[in-house]
Amino acid sequence: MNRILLIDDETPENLDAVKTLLSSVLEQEIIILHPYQFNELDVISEGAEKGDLDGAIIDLRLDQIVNKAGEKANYRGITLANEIRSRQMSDDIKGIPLFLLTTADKIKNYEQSIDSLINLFDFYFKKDNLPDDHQKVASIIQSIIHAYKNLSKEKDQCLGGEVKRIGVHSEITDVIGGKMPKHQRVQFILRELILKSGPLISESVLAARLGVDFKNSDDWSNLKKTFLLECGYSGLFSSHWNRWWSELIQKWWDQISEIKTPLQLATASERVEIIKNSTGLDNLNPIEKGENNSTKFWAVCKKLEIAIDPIEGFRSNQTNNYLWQEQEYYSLQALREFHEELIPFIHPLERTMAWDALNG
Amino acid sequence: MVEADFWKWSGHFSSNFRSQYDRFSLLLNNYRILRNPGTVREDSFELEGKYFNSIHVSGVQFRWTERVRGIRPKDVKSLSIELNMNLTRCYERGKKYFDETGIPDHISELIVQIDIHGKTKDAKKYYYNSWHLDQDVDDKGSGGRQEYPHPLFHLHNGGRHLQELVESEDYGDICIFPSPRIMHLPLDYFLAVDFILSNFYPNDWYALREDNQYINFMKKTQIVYWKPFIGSMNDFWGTDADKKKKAVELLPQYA
Repeated sequence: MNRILLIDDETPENLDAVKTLLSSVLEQEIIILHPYQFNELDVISEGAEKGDLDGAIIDLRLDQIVNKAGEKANYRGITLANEIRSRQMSDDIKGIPLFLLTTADKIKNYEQSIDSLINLFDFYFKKDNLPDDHQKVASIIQSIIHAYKNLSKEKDQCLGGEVKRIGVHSEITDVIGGKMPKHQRVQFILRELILKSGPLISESVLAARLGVDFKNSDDWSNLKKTFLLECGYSGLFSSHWNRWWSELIQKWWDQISEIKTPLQLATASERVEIIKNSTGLDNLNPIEKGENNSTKFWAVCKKLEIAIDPIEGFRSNQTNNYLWQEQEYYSLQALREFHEELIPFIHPLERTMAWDALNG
Repeated sequence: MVEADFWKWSGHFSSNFRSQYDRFSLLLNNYRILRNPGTVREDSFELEGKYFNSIHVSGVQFRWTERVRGIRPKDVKSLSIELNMNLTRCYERGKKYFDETGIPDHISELIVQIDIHGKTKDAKKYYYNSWHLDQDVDDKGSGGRQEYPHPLFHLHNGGRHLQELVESEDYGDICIFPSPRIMHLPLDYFLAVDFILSNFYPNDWYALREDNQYINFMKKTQIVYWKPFIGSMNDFWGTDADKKKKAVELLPQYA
């Protein structure tokens, strides 16, 4: 069972709902702590040291509501998290995950600087969404706690046994085996490897690359379970995030297609035909061409999550931290749907083209 | 043989391809040439006592450009190039592979696929063309006769791949014929990028020719791939019968 501290200035009665939601799904014990004079630091430090505290959920504002004794903190969640992180860096506090809990209303004021804010925390959740989201939130918390507990300097222990069959970039193994504090190494795996397309791909990208309309193909789960299992990612965070090794998928394709056409150059219907013939699974349907000219799908539109051939997408203005991460694209369809609203998110070099496409 | 041993004697080209590719991509990024650096995959395997190292580079996309003269149809407003390639090299123990082994032996497979995508201003219509550099391996040693004599490394336009690119099957008034196989120097990833830049992004190419880092990449890779190739070509007029035979493999038109 995971023991998690919930640091919040709300009254215990108001927090009961949160507590119940989060502990109902999975085996998690939530301990509520009202913040005051940084007493939380000792609680966290001792708990993490003894191994009976696995994480802390911190409210964005800690300085609004007094407890029964009339006490109130005069600092906010970010300050507290900063202090915990800096003590984790000097190893005065053992590495445990920090989660930010807030309301949509309060986080609004921080929108401009959300990225640097989020960097302090392993993940953030909105209180308002908990009634709908609590299962997902609990699963994410559990997956992150598991990652902190099982982080290792060995790449195959972090990234799963399949990693031995591929060439992982040395930048990745350097971080995993390096000297950075635990929370930075965990966050690197989650943010740079799991949440971005690159060596690992998500289910929708996997389906795009195999050309399969996975939402309308009854055999999709059989394909995943029976044939793609050994291309799957089984490392840290895999309990919540389903990922596949892009390289192993390509190798699998090379095997079943006898390398007649590289995966990237085959059309969706060619891909599906070869997969059907080789696996014997009949209920797989290729992704329809729709308004696209090309069905050599490789990525998914960042906005609409539909499969696209990158050549027909508009490059997003995101800057990758690493070369092994893939570019993200917006589809023409997304552009037509969201118009000018989307333009600022398109790479400056492709904005004129995006305007032309809109006005054409 | 253990893998580590293999890397040691196969020289510096295979084991650090990835880091050279990274450095090269960063250099190209400075010039904003690529819209997607693509992905790299390396395999190495052993077959009949020989060791093979194969490098796949896929999905490299060059930025959209409007500065290409003379495109038809006229409504094609911008072009982008996509590069996919596969280079498999072969090593034999005890041979320094590019001094003693000629090019035909050390490159066991080479496919360079250069796809040209054109699009209209409104992005509704796409047009395609394709160049392909490959190595002819069909009947090596079989003693048979090819239907058409091909230089070992040849460049040709169109081909089956172009038909695959045009998913709409709409070819306009243009008819695609089997194109002549034009002899060309072998291209690895760096040389293939240079080929594309010199033909489609001349301004960037001229700028890069002034960049020492770029020139060094080209120098190194030309020594590996072009020097032995051109040496082998020249061997046809030498006296060594084996070397003469190799030269004819490169260019069957030698008389």
